[in-house]
Amino acid sequence: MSTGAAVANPWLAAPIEIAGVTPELAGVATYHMRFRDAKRHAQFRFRPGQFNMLYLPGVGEIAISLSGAGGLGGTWDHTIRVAGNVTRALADLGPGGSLGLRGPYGSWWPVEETAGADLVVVAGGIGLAPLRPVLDAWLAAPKRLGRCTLLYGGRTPDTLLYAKQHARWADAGVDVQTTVDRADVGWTGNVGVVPLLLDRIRPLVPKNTVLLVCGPEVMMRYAVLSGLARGLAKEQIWVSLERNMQCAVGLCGHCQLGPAFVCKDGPIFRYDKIEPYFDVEGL
Amino acid sequence: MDSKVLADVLAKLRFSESLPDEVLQRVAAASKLEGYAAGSVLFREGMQNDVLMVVAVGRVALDMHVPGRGEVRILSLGPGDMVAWSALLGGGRMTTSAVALDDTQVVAISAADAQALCETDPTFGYHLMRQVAMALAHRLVATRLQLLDLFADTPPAIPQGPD
Repeated sequence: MSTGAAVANPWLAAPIEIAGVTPELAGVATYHMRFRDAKRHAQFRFRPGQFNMLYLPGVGEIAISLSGAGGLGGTWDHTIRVAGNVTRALADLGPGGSLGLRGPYGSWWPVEETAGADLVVVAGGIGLAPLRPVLDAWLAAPKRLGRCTLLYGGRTPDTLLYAKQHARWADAGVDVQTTVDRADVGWTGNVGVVPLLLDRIRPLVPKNTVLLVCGPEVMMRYAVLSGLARGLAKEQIWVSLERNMQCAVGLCGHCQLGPAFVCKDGPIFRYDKIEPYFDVEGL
Repeated sequence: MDSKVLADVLAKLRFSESLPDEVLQRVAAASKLEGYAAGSVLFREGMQNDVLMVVAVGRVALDMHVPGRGEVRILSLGPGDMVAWSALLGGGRMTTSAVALDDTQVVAISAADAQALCETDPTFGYHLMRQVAMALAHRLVATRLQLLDLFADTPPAIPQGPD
């Protein structure tokens, strides 16, 4: 699959429109996007884990991971939490609204590279969004050689993202396990942080398992430690890092992390490549 | 259930999978397998309990009573997790209530028997207490993460345009 390399001029944003909006949670919605130019739209491809730069004239530009594709006549998705000026302005646009796009950019989850391995997908909060295309890819694979386990944590039961899809994923063969930090006694699901679920997976065959982690960095750190404790090698673990990405092509340096630029070399990193900088205060 | 079968059950659980075989056999000899139907109570907060448990099958929720709020679910435990450590270390007064979320089986170890073995056999005591300490340390780290409230935010509502 092509990564849909960005247009020749990396600073030029192409006009896109919001084809539809799916409300997800309070303050979170999935925006279904398409290019205004049909030819460009037909050519657009991305890989799970990549991101786009969404540009709202007069407001600003923001890096947002792609969270899916194929809905509403071939649109692609961004699941966005309102957190600042750009995301608020985007939320105000609604269906039919126009904005600009550069992308897709960045590295991707090693879905094709690890075909046949057991996938353990660990996500926290809105960190499930960049991993949803991984689940879609696994479900769409014509021949599934390995198992797929989703370990997903949220704050409370009513803040679990894509909750309606969990059952569908489970019915299709994904081992879906969720947990929340807080719940009352009416909740019969799991309570506790998501790395605990990783500790409990049985069976887990370390040499044939790949761990993909996305969420708050503290959560990722302990998920990685759990994975290592379960016998996975650092080369079998991938994490998604988030930094202040502005140019998206490794020029401006805002997202520099040690020798790497998160926008260009990431956001998906194999853990052994990023370990020295993963847990350094201030980086 | 004979102790050999129990030893096999224990050997597959994270709590005890790294115990030396000799210690594992002695733990098994002092244990029994207990079953709890989903929804049943293993013990209640404040009660005296003299049995240390390790979940073998199913899940157990730990709840605490908070005046004015009622029961608050603190944590759920699964296979390989230790339950009721206070029986061994805290004098037996339970600090939470424990409810089976699924049909659950636990390996139940008499705290008095385990303490007696620890007193008379320092090697056994070292290995058992090391496992208990590791399980508690692990739970402490998880509790810290839970306290960080990593997913907290106060998101504003998203205005929805016409579809």
